[in-house]
Amino acid sequence: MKIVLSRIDERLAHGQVISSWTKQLQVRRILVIDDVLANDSFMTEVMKMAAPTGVDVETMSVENALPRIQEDTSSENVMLLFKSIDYAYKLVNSGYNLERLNIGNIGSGPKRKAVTKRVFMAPEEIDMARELSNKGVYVYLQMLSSDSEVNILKQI
Amino acid sequence: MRILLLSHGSLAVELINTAKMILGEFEDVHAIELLEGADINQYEQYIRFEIDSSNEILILTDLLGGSPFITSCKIYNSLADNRKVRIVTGMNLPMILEVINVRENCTLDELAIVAYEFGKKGIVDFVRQIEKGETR
Repeated sequence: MKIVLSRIDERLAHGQVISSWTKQLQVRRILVIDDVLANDSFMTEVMKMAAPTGVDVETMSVENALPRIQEDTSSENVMLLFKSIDYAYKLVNSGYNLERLNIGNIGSGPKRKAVTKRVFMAPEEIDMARELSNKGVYVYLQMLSSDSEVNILKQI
Repeated sequence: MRILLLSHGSLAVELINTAKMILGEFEDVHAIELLEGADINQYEQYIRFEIDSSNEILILTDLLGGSPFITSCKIYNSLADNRKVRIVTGMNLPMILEVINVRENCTLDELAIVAYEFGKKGIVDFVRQIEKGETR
């Protein structure tokens, strides 16, 4: 598979936002990497139902994601999707060579503070973003493909 | 029977205001907005409260795959008894007016069918309809 986008979106495969990216990047498959969803066949079905036409959705644990990515030799365009930064962080720590990580949408929460008006992060999530940046991952803020990229280091 | 409208932004609230303009006052139709940067867990709690505090509830959401829909599905799957909940997505004004009008005389399952059918029936490509000679 060819990973054309790795994205954090708390709201995952939600309608218009995802369809704008899948169209733009010709995505044929979305891998949702999430240890909880990987064991939730009901919500996996809901996400398949909601996916843009022609786009397959798979959910899998961090542990299964690395072999799944490495063993697939097809040229299919794939998007990796994470609900929060910790699964992306775990994937990198398990040995995946992630080059770019898009942060789209993270809602507010008890410990989260505003990074932009669409992205709220807790202190430990900000630490993970810094650490990923230090490891050479380009972590950037961008909601829609038509928005410009902003290096997260400029905002945290 | 409660009807709950869920939307991105204030669409759901305004649909109620518009429906009141056409039907006059009615009760037990609620709306929850999902605003930018919202706490998604808190949003889920608001929807749960609406479900817990009603005997039967028809949830109408704006967009297949949007967070209002996904969150509703998630709650539906977590309920001990989910027979009191139906979810229909793609809400529009014709659908809402009809379910408000007929809900007293329907079961929840029937009301979900009414929502689905009237939602679709309210969409007409006028010129194509005329050209096909189908005026009804």
